[in-house]
This record gives sequence, structure tokens and C-alpha cells, in this order.
Amino acid sequence: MGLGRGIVQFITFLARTLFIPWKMHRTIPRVTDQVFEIGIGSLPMVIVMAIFVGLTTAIQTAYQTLGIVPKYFLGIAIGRMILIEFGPVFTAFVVAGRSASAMAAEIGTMRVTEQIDALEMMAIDPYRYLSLPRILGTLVALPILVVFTELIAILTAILTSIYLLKVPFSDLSYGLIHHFRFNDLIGGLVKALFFAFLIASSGCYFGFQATGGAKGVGKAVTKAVVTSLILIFAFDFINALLFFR
Amino acid sequence: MIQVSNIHKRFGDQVVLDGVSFEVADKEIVVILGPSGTGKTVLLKIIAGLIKPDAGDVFFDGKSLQKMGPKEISELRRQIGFVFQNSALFDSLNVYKNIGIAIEEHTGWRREKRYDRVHQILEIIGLTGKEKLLPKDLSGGMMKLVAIGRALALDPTYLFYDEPTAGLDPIMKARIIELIVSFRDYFHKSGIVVTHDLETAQAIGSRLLMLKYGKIEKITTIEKERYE
Repeated sequence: MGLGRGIVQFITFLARTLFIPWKMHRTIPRVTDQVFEIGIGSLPMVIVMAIFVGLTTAIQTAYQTLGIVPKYFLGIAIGRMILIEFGPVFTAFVVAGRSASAMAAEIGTMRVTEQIDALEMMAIDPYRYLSLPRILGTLVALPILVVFTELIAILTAILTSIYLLKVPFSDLSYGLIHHFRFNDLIGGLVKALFFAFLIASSGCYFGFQATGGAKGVGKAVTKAVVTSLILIFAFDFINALLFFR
Repeated sequence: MIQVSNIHKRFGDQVVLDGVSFEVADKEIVVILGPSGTGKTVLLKIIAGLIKPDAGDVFFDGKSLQKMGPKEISELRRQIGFVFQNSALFDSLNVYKNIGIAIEEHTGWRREKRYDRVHQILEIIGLTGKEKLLPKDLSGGMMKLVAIGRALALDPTYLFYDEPTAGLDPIMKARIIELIVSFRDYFHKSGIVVTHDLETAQAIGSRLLMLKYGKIEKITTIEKERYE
């Protein structure tokens, strides 16, 4: 399938999902299910990932800056890197790996076993029933997960800096608090919203495109994860270019 | 009444349907018979509007399916119950929810009324007490019964069955045939049954359509078929 045709199909898919009556009284319970499925389901992995992000960020930043710039710079760098970049991007990676694949597998299986045809025959719009709750659920869950990641990663980085790198807490807190910008936090969360949209729409789109049994579903899952990761990288670059220069 | 008019469909170079036409009268069940791979399921899905034909049209009470907008198609589909070959039950929903999903989506009934309707259907298909089971806990025959129950949920005018008895043991097969016939005789449902099984076809249909090489090869009656 050509890239151009793929893009047209993806846009058509988005239009079919988003520009239909949302019937919120029926959709909200399914969105809530998705928020729990994505949010609670991803939380253990997010916590583990955030701890390692905090550990590595502290050690790498100290390695590159200590002895060259004042010690409070460590606090600035940790805070900003985690809020702007590592928090949203790494959390998006976890959710892409876990949820985009699950969405593609679930919807893909429904496609190849005629369950989506069955929905259509019951006059239930499969896009409203399957895609919309997943997209809205991810839009709610991912920013919440990002906040968790940021809190845990910053806390871990502070503890690592104090106890492993022997940087005084006063220096760290000066850098973290006095150079904290509210816009960095909001920027990271807005970025998370876009990532959420890209992850969920990729997962659902490739699920709907699945054909030909188990092999087709496997291909859909691979495409969903790879595409959502590439889109995260691409959007992150565009965002950096536009807002952080 | 359903009129199928000059349906053509090909996938790549392969001609699957080559000018298929027939009619289904009110309260009649027509059986489309033919060996595997002759396009019976494709034909049924075209009649249901799930697949677009390359040419031809289907008319429901004189209304052209090809000219219907999304809203009209949605309204039509509420009048059609479709039993898929592999049942196509929703894996994550139990028997109760599989049968009740369309009722919940379309009726706006209160919980008690929905409960009563689903239990009425469970009684008809003989699965009372099984409502909490998931599809993975059901036998092939029970899955087929749930699929029939789900198709009945909105009390449709038409029932379409794709290989309703394929892969079932003789007892379950007889039970399903009995249900299909009773829907016609007692509930006055029109229907189309697609099957490769002559025994099922003879037991169900008043008219048989033989599909071969993309064409209706013969339209016959059960009596004539038995005689021949």
C-alpha cells in the first residue's frame, strides 16, 4: 500500500471516528473502562520506568555538568529534562508498547472474526463503539501517567543526587524550584495529549485494517507500535522546533 | 419482500458472482445451496449491505439498498438479524450482554424491560441459566444458539443465516433447524439461509437456489428436489 493511500485511509478513519454523533451517554462508560485499562494497567510499568529514568538522568547530568557549571545547574537540568522531554516521551513509549499493540490486536481480532461486521449488522457504528472510547480514554490516561512519571523520576533523581552523587539538597532545590517554569510542565502535558492521540489512533486504525487471520493481526500490531513510535519521535521534533528554540 | 437484482462481484480476476437475481417473499425462507467457495457468503453479505457489489442492486420492499444513505442503512439493519458462520460473538461480553447489546444501543428501554427481553430470547433458544457464561465457555452449538438469539434481539423482519448448521452434531443441527423453521412458521420472519448441506436445505427451505460458478444454476422447490 502506498504511503499516500495510507494517509488518505488514516484521515478517513479519523473522520469516521471523530465526526459522528458521539452519543456520550453510551460512550462515557466505555471511556471510563479505557482510562482504567490504560491508566491502571500501565502504572506498574510506568513506575519502574520512571525510577530508572530518574536514576539515569541524575547520573548522566552530573557526569556532564559537575565541575564545569555550578551544582545548582543539576537541579535545573533534571527538572527541565524530565518535565519537557523524558516524562512525556518515555511514558508515551510505554503506553505505545502496551496499549497501541493491545488496541490493534483486539480490534484486529474482531475484524478477522467478523465481530465488527456483527456490530455493523446491529446498526452499531464500530468506530464510535471501538475507536472513540479508546482515543478519548488515552487522552485522559496518558497525561495522568505523565504526571506520575515526572513526580517519581524527579524524586528518584533528587535522592540519587543527594545520596549517590553527594550534591547538597540546598543546591538541587535552588535549581529545581527557582528555575521551575510552569510553562515547562504545561508544555509537557500538552505534548502528552498529542502523543495520546497518535498512539490510540494508530492502534485503532491498524486494528481496523487487519485482514487474513492471526498473521494479519500480528502484522497490524507491529505496524501500530512502529507507526506510533515514529509519530511520537516526529511530533516531538516538530514541537521542539516550534516551542523550545 | 427482498429482490436481488443482477448482482455481479469479482475479487481481482476471479468472478465470484455473475448476474445473480432472485426474490424472497414475505414469510418465506429461501435456501442458497452450493459447494464451499462458490460465493454464497459474499452474496449474503452483499444482500445485507456489508459488501458492495460491482453491479446490481438489492431492494427491500422496493427500496434500493445502493441508494440508501447511512441513516437508512442503519434503520434497515435494525430489521435484519444476521447469524454469522463462526457466530462472531463478542469475546469480552457474556451471553446476556451479547444478546442485549443491540437492545441497549437502540431501544432506550429501562433495565427491567431489557432484562425481560433477553430472558425471553434465552428461553426461546433454550439457554436459560447460561447468561453469565463467556463465549470461550460455550460449545460450538451453544455459540450458534447465542448468535441466533442476538440476531432476534430487535425482533427483526428478516433473518439471514450463514451456514447455520456447519460443524454441528446431529442433535444440535436438528435443534437449530427446528428454531429456524419455527421463526418462519410462528414469528413470520422472512429469511435467507446459506448452506452447503443438502439435508439442512431440505429441512428448512420452501425454495432452493443452487449457486454454481457465480450464477444461480437452478431454482427449485424442496418437493421437486426430493423427487429428483
